Amino acid sequence: MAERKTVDCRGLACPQPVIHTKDALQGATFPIVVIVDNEGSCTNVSRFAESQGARVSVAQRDDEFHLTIEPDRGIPAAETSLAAGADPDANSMVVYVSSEGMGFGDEDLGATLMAAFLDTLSHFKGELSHAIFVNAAAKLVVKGSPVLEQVQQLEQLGVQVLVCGTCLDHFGISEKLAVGSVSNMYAIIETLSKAGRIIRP
Amino acid sequence: MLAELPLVDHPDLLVGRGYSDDAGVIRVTEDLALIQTVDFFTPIVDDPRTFGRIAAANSLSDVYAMGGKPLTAMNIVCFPRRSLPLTVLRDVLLGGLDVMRQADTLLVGGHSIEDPELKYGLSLTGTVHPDRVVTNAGARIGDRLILTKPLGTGVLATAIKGGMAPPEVEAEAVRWMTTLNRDAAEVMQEIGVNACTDITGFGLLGHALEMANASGVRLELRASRIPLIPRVRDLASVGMIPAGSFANRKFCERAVTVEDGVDPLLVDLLADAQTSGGLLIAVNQDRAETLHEALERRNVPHPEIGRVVAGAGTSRIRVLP
Repeated sequence: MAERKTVDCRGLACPQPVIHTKDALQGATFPIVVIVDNEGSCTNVSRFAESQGARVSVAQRDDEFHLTIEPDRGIPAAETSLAAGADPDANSMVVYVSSEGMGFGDEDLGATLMAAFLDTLSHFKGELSHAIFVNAAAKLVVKGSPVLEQVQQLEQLGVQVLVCGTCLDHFGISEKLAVGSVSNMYAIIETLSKAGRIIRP
Repeated sequence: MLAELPLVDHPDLLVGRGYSDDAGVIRVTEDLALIQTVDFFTPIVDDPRTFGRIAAANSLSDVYAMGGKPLTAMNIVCFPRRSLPLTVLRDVLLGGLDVMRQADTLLVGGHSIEDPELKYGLSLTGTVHPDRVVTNAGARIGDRLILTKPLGTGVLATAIKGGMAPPEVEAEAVRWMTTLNRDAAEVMQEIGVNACTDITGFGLLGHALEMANASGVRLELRASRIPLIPRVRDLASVGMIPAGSFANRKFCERAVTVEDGVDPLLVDLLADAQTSGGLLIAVNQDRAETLHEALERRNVPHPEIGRVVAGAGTSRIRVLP
């Protein structure tokens, strides 16, 4: 019979169930079972385990939740896309923007070209499904950006604008986001991997 | 539970218990109304002085949310004399005083009792012109919704408790929790807005729901526009959401419609129980730009997170991606 460790977290308030699960999962190679007595703890423990690449299955018995957690065996277990409707079809075009300007050499020229690029993109609205903004390009989608109007126009045309949340945090401009939705690496990779074509300014 | 108590009515009572608003308001003379409110809670950070500052800022927020100016304060203290040294109490009270001074509010007294657990807060009296009270009941169709602080203090407090929050993240949470809503309140009075409430224990969803119910309107929130304190999303995705926030979400469930494409994690964060959160302001769309500009000048965040729409029935809040 398989070895199995049980972590009883009944009666504990958050974040304790997660902390106990974290300790139990440390170096574990066999499944563990975590018992919690409320839905919130169940959600938290599941999210934690999944963030560690573990697989989680939940059995509810009366007011108790029994979570069986299989530790990571080297395969990331991210299962759900966090992107808003990230499902481009094979013919779709995704634009990937990773800098504030277009090209290198002259910054002012780069900024002018970026504005022209984003403006002209609206002519390709039928094909364009997503616009992804990462690294310094996150500054293009916040309040005060010189190209805000252009990006907003794309969004109005039905283009999904995804913005790297880590990048917004990095520049301390999360609160200023003015267009698009905050996204994450998994969703960005998923969108890129499903794209028919990827273009960059 | 409070609903079972009989309501008090009086011609000069401008805002009473019947409104689930942030504070009570009574007209004293033709051009003066008093705002009264009380709030206190248990520590959410280890440092006593910081806790005092947070508790005071949180209490003051209810006066600001009514568009008022705090005047006097009384300390409310529960203290475990047997388990904690009195220096802790001194530091908590000093922290409170720091913030009261910043708010030009006079401490005029207080009351303390012995209790197994430390609790601190303020009972406040503030003033406002009777015609300029900003309640949560004035939101009108077409209004823009503006939120003046990012969300996530509930998640961060949980992460701090669990030892999962790095010091710089804790510092950022403290910075927001000790920021007064004073500038936002003054700007509100300057520009003129339709409704306001502060975001505290019931989370953005809970307090938005109160506003929708009190105003008889429906609110549309754009999830992707709602600001979060840095790292909050990451900490929530590793299970740092407090029980109170789940309870908020559950409580609001029937009245909140979440559209496809909204990340469930984000919905949990919209329900995150806040300590000393920002103001949710409903402003006439013609004045929205002026409000944005005035808040920007005072360095107050002012993302537009949604708008007020028509609609009856059980669904009072619609969350869009």
